[in-house]
Amino acid sequence: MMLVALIVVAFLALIPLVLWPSVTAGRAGKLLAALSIVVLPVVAGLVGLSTHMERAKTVSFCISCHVMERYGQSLHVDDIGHIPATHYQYNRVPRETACYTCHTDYTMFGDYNSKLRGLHHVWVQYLGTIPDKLHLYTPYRNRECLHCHEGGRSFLDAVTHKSEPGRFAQIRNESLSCVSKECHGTTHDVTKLGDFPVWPPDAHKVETHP
Amino acid sequence: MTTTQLEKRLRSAAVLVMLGLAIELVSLCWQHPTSFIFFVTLGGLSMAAGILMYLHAIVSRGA
Repeated sequence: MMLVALIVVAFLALIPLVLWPSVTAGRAGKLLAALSIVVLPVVAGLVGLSTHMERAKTVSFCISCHVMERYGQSLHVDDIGHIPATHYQYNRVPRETACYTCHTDYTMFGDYNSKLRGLHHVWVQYLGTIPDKLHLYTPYRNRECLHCHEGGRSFLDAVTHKSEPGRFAQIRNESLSCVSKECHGTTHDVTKLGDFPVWPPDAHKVETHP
Repeated sequence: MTTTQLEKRLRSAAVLVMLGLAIELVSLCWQHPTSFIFFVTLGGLSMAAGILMYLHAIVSRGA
């Protein structure tokens, strides 16, 4: 709301310059021109960019593209083996930003890298060929899992993690992927959505992959 | 640069910035990746062009 007000104020401040540009002859007019053409629009643009970046983190934003709908539906699969669904349903990630929380890079410019990947998605959506089966551009890194799980008791005390010496080192140095088939490999298995009930029960019906 | 030319450029700059602001406003009402693209490309470029035109106009005036 504040941003809308800011844009409206910036817009209104420009009207005198369009209708009567001669007002810039005076000192007050020059100040108005600098304020309304540079300062207010730059502030409005930066706040707008920040707002768009925050909105781009929400699940509703991610699944607003048709091709991502089934991935959003997979968060409602009632099966504890589905890692994204479990994280979403048990609040292991913020529900509003579930996609972003797991799919951003936890690095210095991770936010911007993930947005660049998003721009690539849009490019493919409009100008490329959408593949039948979607893949990540790069293999999923353990770093993103360990950002939250490292040091946690569920991670450190897990029987399978302690079953072999060196397993923790393998996980930390990325030589054994958390989402490998024999570990937590059931991620967004959208081809089998129709095989599972949904949670919560009143969630929209999960459609079978055509 | 004459005063009339300067005023014309200021008017054009103001119109470009207004266009950019209008695009930003519309993009905020639409939650979709395409709206982000509109905001950054059309809105951002329009505002940047308006600001640069304004700065160029006042620098040229001083020269």
